[in-house]
Amino acid sequence: MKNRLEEIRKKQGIKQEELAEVLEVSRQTIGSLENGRYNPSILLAFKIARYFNMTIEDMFIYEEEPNER
Amino acid sequence: MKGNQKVNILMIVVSIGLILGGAFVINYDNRNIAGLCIGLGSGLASVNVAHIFIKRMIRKHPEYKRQSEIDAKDERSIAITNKAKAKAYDKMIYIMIGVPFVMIFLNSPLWMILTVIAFYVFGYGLHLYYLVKYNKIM
Repeated sequence: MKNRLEEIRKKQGIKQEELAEVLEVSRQTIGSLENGRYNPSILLAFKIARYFNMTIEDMFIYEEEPNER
Repeated sequence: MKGNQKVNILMIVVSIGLILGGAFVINYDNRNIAGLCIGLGSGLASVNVAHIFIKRMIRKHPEYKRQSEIDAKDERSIAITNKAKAKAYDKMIYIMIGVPFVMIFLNSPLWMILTVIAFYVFGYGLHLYYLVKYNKIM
């Protein structure tokens, strides 16, 4: 699953450390989310979206995989 | 890091007693009890000394406490830990299957082989228990 976290975070001038502190996760988790290596739980996805005053759909882009039918 | 520092100091005193006691018992040719006392004492001492150091470090640098709390609750860290444990369990099961055969090959006593098999069955039983439990609650 892709996301716009890095783009939106940088646009708002927030550091990874600051975001991690607010969301109560480690900085590595923010880095992994931005790289697309880690998909957040639904709770963390809600926390992230709410922090940026966005919907989950605006923040996370769900792409159906070819074999996922 | 919860707990009282006095308890840590008391446990260090107890562990020193165990180590000295173990060293004393060695003179009477009772090596099993001596080994047990020294082993327990050393383990207890290291754990409690480490706890005291960690508590002192947290007192000097309160930001470490906050960071360690976040790290403990961090969902990615928890997921990684759980995945690592699951992988290790899978590998351990293969080893546990192989060990009795190696023991048979080495002509080990039957009770030893059966004990190892009992551990394997117990572990697999726990696996099934948690499968059923989590199927019900999740």
